[in-house]
Amino acid sequence: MSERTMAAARRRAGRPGAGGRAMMLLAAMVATAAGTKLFGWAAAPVVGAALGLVEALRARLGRPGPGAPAGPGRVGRPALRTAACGALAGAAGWALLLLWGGRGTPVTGVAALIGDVAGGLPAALVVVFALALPAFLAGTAAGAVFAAADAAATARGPRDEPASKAADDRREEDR
Amino acid sequence: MTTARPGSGAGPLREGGRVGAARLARLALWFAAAGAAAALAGCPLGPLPPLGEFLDPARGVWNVAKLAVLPAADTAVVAGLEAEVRVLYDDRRVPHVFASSAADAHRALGYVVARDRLFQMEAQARATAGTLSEWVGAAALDLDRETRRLGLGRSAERDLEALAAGQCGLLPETDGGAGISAAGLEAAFAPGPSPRQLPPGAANAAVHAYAQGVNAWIGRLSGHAGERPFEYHLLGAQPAPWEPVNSLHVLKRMGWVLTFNPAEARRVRVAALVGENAADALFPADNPVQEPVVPHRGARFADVAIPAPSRKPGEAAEANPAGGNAAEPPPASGAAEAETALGSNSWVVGPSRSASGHAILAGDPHLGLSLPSIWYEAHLVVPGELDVYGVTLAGVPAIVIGFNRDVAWTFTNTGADVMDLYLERLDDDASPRRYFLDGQWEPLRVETERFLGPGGEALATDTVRSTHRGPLLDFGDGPASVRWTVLEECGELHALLRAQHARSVPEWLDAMAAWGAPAQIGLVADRSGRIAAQSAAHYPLRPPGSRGDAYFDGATRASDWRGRTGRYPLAVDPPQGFLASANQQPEDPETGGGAYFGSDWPDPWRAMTINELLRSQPRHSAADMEAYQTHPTSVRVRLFLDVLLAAAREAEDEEPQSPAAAAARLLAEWDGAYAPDNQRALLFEEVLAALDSLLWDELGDEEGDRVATPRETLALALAAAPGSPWWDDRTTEEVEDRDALVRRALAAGLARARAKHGPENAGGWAWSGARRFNVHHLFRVPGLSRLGLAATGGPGLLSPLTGGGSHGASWRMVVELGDEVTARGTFPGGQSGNPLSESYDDRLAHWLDGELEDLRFPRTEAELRARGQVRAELALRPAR
Repeated sequence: MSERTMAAARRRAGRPGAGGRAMMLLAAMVATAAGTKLFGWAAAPVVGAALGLVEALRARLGRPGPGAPAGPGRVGRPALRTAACGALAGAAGWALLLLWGGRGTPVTGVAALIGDVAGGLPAALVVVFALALPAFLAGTAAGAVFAAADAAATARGPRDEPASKAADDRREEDR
Repeated sequence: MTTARPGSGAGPLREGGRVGAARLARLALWFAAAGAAAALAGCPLGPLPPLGEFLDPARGVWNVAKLAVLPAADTAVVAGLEAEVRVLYDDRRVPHVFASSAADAHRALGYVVARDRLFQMEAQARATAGTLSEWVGAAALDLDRETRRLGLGRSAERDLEALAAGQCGLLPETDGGAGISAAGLEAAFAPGPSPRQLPPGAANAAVHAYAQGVNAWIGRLSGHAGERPFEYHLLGAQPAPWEPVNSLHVLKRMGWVLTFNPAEARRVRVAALVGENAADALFPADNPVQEPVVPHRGARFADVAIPAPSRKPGEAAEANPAGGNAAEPPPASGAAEAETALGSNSWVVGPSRSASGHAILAGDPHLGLSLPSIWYEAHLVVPGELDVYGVTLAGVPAIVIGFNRDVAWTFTNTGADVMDLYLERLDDDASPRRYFLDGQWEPLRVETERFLGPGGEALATDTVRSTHRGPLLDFGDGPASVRWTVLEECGELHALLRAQHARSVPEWLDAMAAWGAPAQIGLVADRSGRIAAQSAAHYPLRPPGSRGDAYFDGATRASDWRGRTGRYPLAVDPPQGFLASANQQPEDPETGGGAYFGSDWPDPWRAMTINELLRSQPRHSAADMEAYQTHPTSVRVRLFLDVLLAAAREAEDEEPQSPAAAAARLLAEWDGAYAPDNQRALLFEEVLAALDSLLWDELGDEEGDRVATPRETLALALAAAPGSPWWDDRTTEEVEDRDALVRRALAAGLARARAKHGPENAGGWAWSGARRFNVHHLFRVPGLSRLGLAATGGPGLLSPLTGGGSHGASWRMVVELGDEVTARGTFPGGQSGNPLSESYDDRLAHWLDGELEDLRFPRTEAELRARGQVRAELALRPAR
């Protein structure tokens, strides 16, 4: 099987394209917003953790076997990429909620007030910080879960069996 | 087989299924970061609340903005309402409550005040109950301990029981003739319509109804996650349910602010420094400058002989051999100013002195300036029963200062001595259980106070002890029990509720007979043109011949109060046609019968200024009265300027280039005004501060700290005795007389002014560069405060502006009682306690400019609507 075919198979198996990744990010963002609305700030790290787990599973699904190149989430620094994805989802989720729930609510006015109380911080900086918090929460949770899942997989050793029937079928097809 | 790419996580780090150390370290880092993020979001960081909850876009601080906007039309359900209540907010955001019963009006008042001031209400109640540590933790523990030892919270609880039992609002026992004379008492109660009475349980019903209203608002907030005042978000706290006792907490707090004054301890320290006789003379029972509330014979300056201070052994050796340095400014104590910061003005003219022929009343109570403001404007209407407008304290179900269709009233603090200290002998220093009384040991009442933190955790416990007189405290002179009318009286709310219904001056005075504490001078006028001033309080009857400004012997019941007197200084319709009260001694000792009434009387400068203004023209309009409230100069300036310039004349003749002569020339240019741009006022104040330090050098303790500062009237009285030993600066070898010391003060004041503000002609001496108003947030959060505000004001002025600028006129009001009552007023802040609301500080600009605003006083909803003055509406409906 040609390298090209193998790469295509890997893509199909787990690495999303740009559209797929955007969809995943959008889902995480919406989940963060909805979760925060329903359950409070703790939803951000929970969604982040879920994202990390999903990424880890996807990476594992896409891993063709021992010694093969890592799965889609594992290209570059996979945990960091997952964390960045979580951070983006967290910040965007809170931003969405602020804008959505903020009809008639001058967010900048509150930010300016907080800035005043904090000793004269600009309102923009307060807003940045307010969005950095969910980014930090969701990002670190995503990164930590991904890293943990990856470490657990590593501890179990190389896979002898395909992770799923679909991947098995694809591998068979390639042969 | 392919090779792993760098960073892929496969290959080098994975060896035979084992997880490498580097990977483990990375994993640990990730979890540490995640833990840190969770901690940052979930745990308070020092004074910061948990940031996750604070910044939560759904439940967090962002919701504060929603509360800042008053909905144009709104409805709410209030438990206990008997019928629907309509509330119309006017264009000044003042709620006009139209209810069908007084109880419903109180429920609605609770709702609307909580809507704007919930945090302030709870903060004040907690401050009195000693539970601030439940908000802020150990940082407030000392404050809470102090409050609970004083027993204000327990006193409020006792008051609530007494209110429920209908035991408040009763007249005190008679004084047997030993009290203060009451000239004109009979005139006030001349036969007329019998005063309207309220049922004994009226105050109890009011606090319970008010609590229902407040809790309806709290309940509404709890149904909208995150919608609570900004400060709760900062604290990471939720509003606590409002209990009826909380209203009494707020009243008790005012009693503490206005009358807690352990002057006995000060007297002991002064006597230790300068001797008993000198201490008595420096802090006399009667002010040497008299212009009392009860008119007597105008301003009167009494001769004062202050015995020479006793000198301590070896003191001469401490003298400065250099003879002092006249150019070096001595440190200013500022103590005298601090003491005069609290106070109030009020005056009233009868028809004979009014341009319109109607009585006109003006009042401006001086209190700590705060945001949210201490006062809240409201108008309560119960057709056929109640129609009252004015200001209420957030948390109190009554208009405290205001007017109805017939009567207007205001208050100033009497400043009388209503608190005594008794030195007690205890059976054990560390853990006393008994105190000695009349030859035997009596058990102390011992109670345990528990202090909780924000999470309900136990922070500390404290043992609080009291004798039959009151709480056991220590003011630095050994254990002393405190007897204080504020801890014992409970008729104030009943008095206020009755006063709201008064239709005439006699009715109002009759209502105030129930007022026990804090002692207040009530100024009142009615539509028929009657005017009166009455010091309302139940004053202690002390053992014959005793005064309350020295410690009593606690070992004998002979020291105890014999009861209370309900006879007070009173003036009704005086021939001069006007009355003025500004915390001065209320009755001239020449007419007061010699009874001890108090000793710590503020300087009468404001009272004298008002009287001068009212005498300055035969008739006055409401606009005149409004202008007087920010009159730019005072009698104090004239009196002290005379002393300063007279003392400097010799210097000007002999040493025209001397600093003292230069200072005198600059002061001679002054118009006496304290406008923000005035270029000489600060020099005057620097000179007086220097004079204060030089003159009262005998009152410094071993560390050089001032033990106490006599009132300025004593300094003025000493000016008539140029050779008094008090003029000598004991740190120099030479012996100074009045003029020598005044010249040193002039030179020192000039040097200090130049050092702080540059040369006198460079434009840097603007008064606003030295003093500005500072309106602090309740928790002194700078971002929520309004600081450095320039306005006319100064020491001794009708608009007082002292050192910190944090006290001043808290509510200015002028009411003309014509066929239709017209009124103007303002206060330094706004109706809303929400910093994001435009009504948080919208009145500040008017206040700074000395302008009042028209107060809307419609008889009906339709009247307010017809004028186009309705800003928002609220319908409060009974629960079904």
